Amino acid sequence: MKFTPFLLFYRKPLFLLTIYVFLSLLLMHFNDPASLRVISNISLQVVEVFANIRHDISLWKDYQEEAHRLREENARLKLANQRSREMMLENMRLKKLLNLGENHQYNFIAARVIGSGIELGIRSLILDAGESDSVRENMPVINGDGLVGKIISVTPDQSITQVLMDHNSLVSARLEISRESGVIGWDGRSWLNLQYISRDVAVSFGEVVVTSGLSRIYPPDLRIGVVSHIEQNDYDLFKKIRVTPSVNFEALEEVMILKTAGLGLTENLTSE
Amino acid sequence: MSKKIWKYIFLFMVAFLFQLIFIRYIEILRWKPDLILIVIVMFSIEYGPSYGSTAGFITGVVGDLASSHLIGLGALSKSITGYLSGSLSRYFKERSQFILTLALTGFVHHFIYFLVSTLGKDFSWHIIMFVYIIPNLFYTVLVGAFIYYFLINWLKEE
Repeated sequence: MKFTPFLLFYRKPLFLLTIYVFLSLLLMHFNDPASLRVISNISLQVVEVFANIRHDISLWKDYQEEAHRLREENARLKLANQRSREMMLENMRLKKLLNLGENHQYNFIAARVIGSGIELGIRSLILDAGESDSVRENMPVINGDGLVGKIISVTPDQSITQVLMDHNSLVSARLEISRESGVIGWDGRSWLNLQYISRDVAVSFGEVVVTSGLSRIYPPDLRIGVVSHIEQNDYDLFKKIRVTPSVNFEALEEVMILKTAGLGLTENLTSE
Repeated sequence: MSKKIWKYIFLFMVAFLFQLIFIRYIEILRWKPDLILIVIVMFSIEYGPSYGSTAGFITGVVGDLASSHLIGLGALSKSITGYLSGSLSRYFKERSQFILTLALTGFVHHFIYFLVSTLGKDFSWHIIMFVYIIPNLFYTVLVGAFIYYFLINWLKEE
């Protein structure tokens, strides 16, 4: 059949598409998840149900393997070792989180990652804690290794986290030694960029980058990453600094949500 | 509603759940197949551009609500994809119709998505094209081919 472009635009489908494009642009303009809350609640509830089923099936499979292990001594020892390692690793992660809580004396909400968003190129996290757990928008999310991101959307029982490696994420940060402030952003590569650090500031490889505390969202001194590359040209006002994130965003299972949003950063710190 | 439509509704739900819960386990270097896009293309080829753009818009909005990006962005890219899939697929031979349609409209979908989401930001199009669009599209077409040829007989039954 001869390709006739005119025919593509001569039917009702194009009118429908025009409406959908207009509605999409309208949605993007307002970007208000609250107005579509019912759909959001239902879809995230369904995600949590299936994530829990997957988790229960995984546990049931573990019990079956343990029964098999008892029957064959060699296989039993290997499987017991593997299971112990998994629990030990989980224990280490949770200990890190508890330790962080003790050091910073913040109020935390523990949450499990039950899914990820469908965006291209980035991975937002769906957590199993929501409004009923006192989670609110703009609360920082951390794990034992450092800053993960912030809560961007909340339903009664789930919430969505925008991670640092998201092109919409900008975090006010500080170099730990020089105390110079800049902004952490992401440009699609496998590292973060620390921007607006003056060319005159001394920066070292391996220097830790932490949150500056200058924003109303992130409390100070949350670890973001370490300096991995420094570039400077004669004509640039600022250095180009790459930061390797502390958190492994590919393997997040449990996180902690800091209860800071909406109350002011100092109001939620427990007194010593 | 015909039995075939219900099959597609079921497929959309499975694709949506799988995309949110399990897709991270088959990610390779942050590249992942877009299962919802695959089902939209299959649906559009079967039912035409009107239905395709409608399915794209609805699944796009629902997907946007479970993600951190702009609400409406997925709806925009998927409704255009649904329309194009339904309109252009009839120009391809039946044997390679699905693969070619998915590759072409998938590229348009990814392009629109990244164009809008990186507007005003310091993003290199070289990286977007060769690190995100092409690998993600390739992975999607690969998985799409497998799913399509596995399911096509079941979908064609009334």
